[in-house]
Amino acid sequence: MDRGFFITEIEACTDMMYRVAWSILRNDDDVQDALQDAALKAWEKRSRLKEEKYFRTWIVRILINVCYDAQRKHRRNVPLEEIPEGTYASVPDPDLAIALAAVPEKLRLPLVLCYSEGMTYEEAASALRIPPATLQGRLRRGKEALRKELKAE
Amino acid sequence: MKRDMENLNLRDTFKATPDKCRDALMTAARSVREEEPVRRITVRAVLITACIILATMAIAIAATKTLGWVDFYEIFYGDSYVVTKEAQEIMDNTEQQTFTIGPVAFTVQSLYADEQEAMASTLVTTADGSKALIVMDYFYEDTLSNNDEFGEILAKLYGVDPETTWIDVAKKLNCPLYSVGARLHMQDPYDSGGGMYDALYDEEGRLVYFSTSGIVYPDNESVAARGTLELPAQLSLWVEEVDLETGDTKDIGDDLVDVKVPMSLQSEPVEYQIPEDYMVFGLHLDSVKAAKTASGVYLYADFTDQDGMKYRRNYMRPVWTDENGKEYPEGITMCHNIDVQWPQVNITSLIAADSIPERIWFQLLDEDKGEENVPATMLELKK
Repeated sequence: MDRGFFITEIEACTDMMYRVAWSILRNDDDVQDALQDAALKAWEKRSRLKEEKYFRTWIVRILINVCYDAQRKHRRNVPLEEIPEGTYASVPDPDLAIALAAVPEKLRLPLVLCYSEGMTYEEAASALRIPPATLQGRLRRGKEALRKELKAE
Repeated sequence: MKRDMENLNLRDTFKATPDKCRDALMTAARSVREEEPVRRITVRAVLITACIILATMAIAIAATKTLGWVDFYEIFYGDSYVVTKEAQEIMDNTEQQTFTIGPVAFTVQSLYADEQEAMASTLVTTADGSKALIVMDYFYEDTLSNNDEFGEILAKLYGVDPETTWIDVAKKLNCPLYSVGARLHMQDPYDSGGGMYDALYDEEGRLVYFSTSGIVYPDNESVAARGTLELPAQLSLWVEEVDLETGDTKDIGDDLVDVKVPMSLQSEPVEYQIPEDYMVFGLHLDSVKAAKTASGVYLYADFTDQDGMKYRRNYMRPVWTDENGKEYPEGITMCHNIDVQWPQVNITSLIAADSIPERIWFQLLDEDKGEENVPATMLELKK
């Protein structure tokens, strides 16, 4: 992978990376740090990407690891109540956003990868490092949780 | 509005990428060089501090050889969280199982759960006792000094400068370096999705991996229905070997192994007598209940909002004290939930008490209000 390809791909993945990182960290400052760290780590590890067509899944996997690392420093997932008020006011579908935010992270992230970023089950499972069957189970339960949250509104 | 859950589109749940995030990412991407990658860039001065904090590993060395959850809480949280004797006994009775992936052995030291959280601690060593460095996840690029004061101890153990990276320590010791994980996942239908993980090193440099997984315990499921007090779970284990020259990692293997987590069920809840029309921050106290588990005593304070959500949820903290005014330490599941289904506000806490107190003092604090807070009120168990 040369520098030009790397920059082009990162640019193309920027919005997806932001959404994935936000889904875990739920704080723009932490997301900003995570995005930088992920880009630098990806470049350092570029020799591990055997086929450039898998760049998107590969960068997401690195980003998720970086986000978990950052989360680990805080010892705990960010609880819903710690998300600043008004956070969802500027999104196109605030009701759905609030409901999604209430879904536990382990269920939320598969939903985001598949239903926001359009990843296949195999891609999302690879990015999350879980078996596809586990991913499908989490998607099913994630949707149930989302449905429940939407009903509660 | 009815949603089409089969054709779910979550893209609209995100705002546009903020310029500062986009700029930070692209600045980092453009900073790389073909010959030598840049280790870290800073977009603005304030980020430097944040990055340094982020780079600080939380791994610690404990003075004892047998590391468990007691050490975990003491080292990371002081005396804020307490492992009860009863929970410790359940953990100590864990049947030790060892799983081997390539040259690395994972020995499950303790498993424990209540209805909120499951916990596992796993000792990670080389399978044949040979010399190797084992690092949690991908922290092999960090220096030993990133372990705060424990960096010095690690450095002394390995006879290197604290500013040495794990990779360079492995080079000096002429031994392999493995990156490992041992994370607990509950299985359906018990997996709530939450959890955390961290690690400690003992004085011989052996890694103990701590992992928790949140539990959803179905209300309608009885002990008899399951016939057991064990929950099905899996430990996700993996090993990668770090190339000491390039810093790249090579997959050695991974596995999902089944484990049974012994579970302490809650006792039937009992109720406290509460003062009539007790109000705090516009919330009317409806009931306070308690249920015993091996983790301690779960306390459930239920309120109804009567003042249009004027309370400040992010600042509220329930405080439970004994007759001497001493606050109960929290229990090991770190349960501290404020659940709002307006107008109902339900607060759940876990205190590390051996039995349900006959009398307990309750105060709901707004941590920003100091003297303006409503004083603690005494609650007595209903006869």
